[in-house]
Amino acid sequence: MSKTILVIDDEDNVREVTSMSLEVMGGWQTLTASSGAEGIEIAKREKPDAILLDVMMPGMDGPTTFRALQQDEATRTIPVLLLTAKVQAADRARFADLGVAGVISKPFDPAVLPTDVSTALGWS
Amino acid sequence: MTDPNSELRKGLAAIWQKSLPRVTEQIATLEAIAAALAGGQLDEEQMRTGEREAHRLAGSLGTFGFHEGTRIARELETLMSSGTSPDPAFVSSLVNELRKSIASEI
Repeated sequence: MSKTILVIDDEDNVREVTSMSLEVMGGWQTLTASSGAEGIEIAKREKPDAILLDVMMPGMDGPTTFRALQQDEATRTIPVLLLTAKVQAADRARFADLGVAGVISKPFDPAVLPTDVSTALGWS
Repeated sequence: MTDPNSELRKGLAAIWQKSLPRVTEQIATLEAIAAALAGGQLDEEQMRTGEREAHRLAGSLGTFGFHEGTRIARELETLMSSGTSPDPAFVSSLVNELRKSIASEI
């Protein structure tokens, strides 16, 4: 059965490219959300196999959204990969300390994103 | 049978075309900020806006193949997040380079 990934990002084009990459190159199904709050609601309802979560979003940013997902029994076991354009070592260390499953750098190569996701999540 | 790579390329091209108005707007914002900086009239809120838009462009342009655009946008983001007022001429020159980097598309 195909896996389902929830993509949470406030930028329309990022959501579209990410979804397309995961569907076309990864063969997965995707759900999308344009905000942390919307993403949490979808995650609770749909129980995706993984979440790709943008770091910089207005309102609830990525780390805040991640903490909310962790605090809810319905979503705490869903692995989360952060999507970020931040390259400074201090930022990366802060993200790693959150307890996410991994961090995907932006900009990413849409041809290999599914491979990077599989590797980060330990999917064969 | 559809080749996934071909489907991906077509899809990316279509998404890029849809993105152009937004990208154009983001670069125009950076140009306005560069002009305000050159005129000594840039406030903190505008600097944060510039940092945010540069960050967004840095994170997206490379995905569409505009790696030089990502590099320039990242440099702009670094300048605007440094906490000190960047050199206005240098910022203007970077924003010009950013526009040129995707000029064929705008």
